[in-house]
Amino acid sequence: MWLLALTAAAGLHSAWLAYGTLKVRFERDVARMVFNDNTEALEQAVQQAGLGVDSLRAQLDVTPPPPADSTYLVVSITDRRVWYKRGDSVLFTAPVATGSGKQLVVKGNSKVLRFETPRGRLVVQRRDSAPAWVPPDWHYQEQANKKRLGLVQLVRGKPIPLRDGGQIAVRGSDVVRVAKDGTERALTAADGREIVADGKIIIPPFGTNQRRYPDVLGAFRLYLGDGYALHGTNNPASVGQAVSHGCVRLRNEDITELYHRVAVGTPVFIY
Amino acid sequence: MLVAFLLLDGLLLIRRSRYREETERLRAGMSALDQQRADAILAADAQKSALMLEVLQRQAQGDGSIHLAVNTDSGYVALDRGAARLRTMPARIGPERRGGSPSDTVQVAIPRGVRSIEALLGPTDRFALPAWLWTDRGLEPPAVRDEIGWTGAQAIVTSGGTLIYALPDSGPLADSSFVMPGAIRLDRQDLRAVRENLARGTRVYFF
Repeated sequence: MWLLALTAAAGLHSAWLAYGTLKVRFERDVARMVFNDNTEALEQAVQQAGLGVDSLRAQLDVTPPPPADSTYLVVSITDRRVWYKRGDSVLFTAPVATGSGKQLVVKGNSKVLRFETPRGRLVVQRRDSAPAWVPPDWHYQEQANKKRLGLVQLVRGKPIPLRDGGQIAVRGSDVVRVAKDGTERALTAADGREIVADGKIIIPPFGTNQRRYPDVLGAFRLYLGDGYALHGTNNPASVGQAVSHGCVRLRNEDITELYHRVAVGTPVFIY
Repeated sequence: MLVAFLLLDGLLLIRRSRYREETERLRAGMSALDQQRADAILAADAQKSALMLEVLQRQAQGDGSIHLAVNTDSGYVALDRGAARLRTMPARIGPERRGGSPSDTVQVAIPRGVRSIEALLGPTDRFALPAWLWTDRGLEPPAVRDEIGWTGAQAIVTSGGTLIYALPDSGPLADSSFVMPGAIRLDRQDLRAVRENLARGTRVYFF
């Protein structure tokens, strides 16, 4: 019993001491502000809130502290790392690959693409499982530049004639090679192994199977809009480097973890 | 439980003593008019003033644009955006002190309240360091006090002149055991990571 009473007394004493310390700290704060001639911050607060304690309390009520239970993602481009956080607590973290910063001049006009991960606040707009990558036109130009090949756009209904008398054409959802004798064979395409004919890379039309790379984005994707996303990879060794075209690339086990935790609407802060 | 309370008491007493010492030092550096201003604020209504500070803190938390929050007591600088904490950077806070010699002294201390970024310095920018940085060490100030590289690869200057920097390779600040009075020192990696997100005018909240 006496121990309980002693503990209670010690608790009260600590509370009294804490209150006193806060007062001393406040005196120090005021001294700092006056010293730095920065009391305008206080004066501004007074103007906004009025002069009374009640109106200051009202001001506090209209600017409530941020909810501590809301979750968000943070990506550091410099550290190449993502954090899934609630308030100040880190719930999950993993290394990522970010934009390479390289430039690509789009042929035919003066547009310059820069492959950077965008800084700012984005939002998870969609969650996709087993996402397929539909490469934009610049991907083919990049491949053509890398391999020193030409580039030709395949259009539905307009086959590309080949030197051997055959042609490349679209049949339904496939890009096919039509031999001289009329036999057709569906072609295959993958990232880095695009369709090449007569020294030119063929850009398949959207909607064809040859313009869908099923494994490039790994197991899951959190889509952020404007073509940017957090997604997995078929090249885990690239994670930790600045090699992407702007997306945030994670190892498949890490994007799987995030996919199952992160809801649509979650803010993503990239800095 | 009893031991925990005793430990807490000890911690609070140390803090209280530190606050008192700093307050005394700051007041010693104030003019009589400034001392009266400080007394007036304290006398007006301590509860009201504490609430004002709380309003300021809430305003910082409600600031939806990217900003820096400097917590001088806990020794960190955070890159925040609204309620989201993007990065917490351990910081070494320079002490407040009187610099220079009598008849030409200056008291420097970390501010409290809201400031904004006035300049972002790069590796080739010049920033004039105060002469008392040398005189305090018994050295003659050099003719040129803004050599390139003396504030490191990146540094931030806030309105009011507070310098936030990382350890440079050369110059009077290139001493790992020293933090310039009235300034804040961060790790190079941290400063590099946030640099691209800051611009002139970005708000800096000092708590």
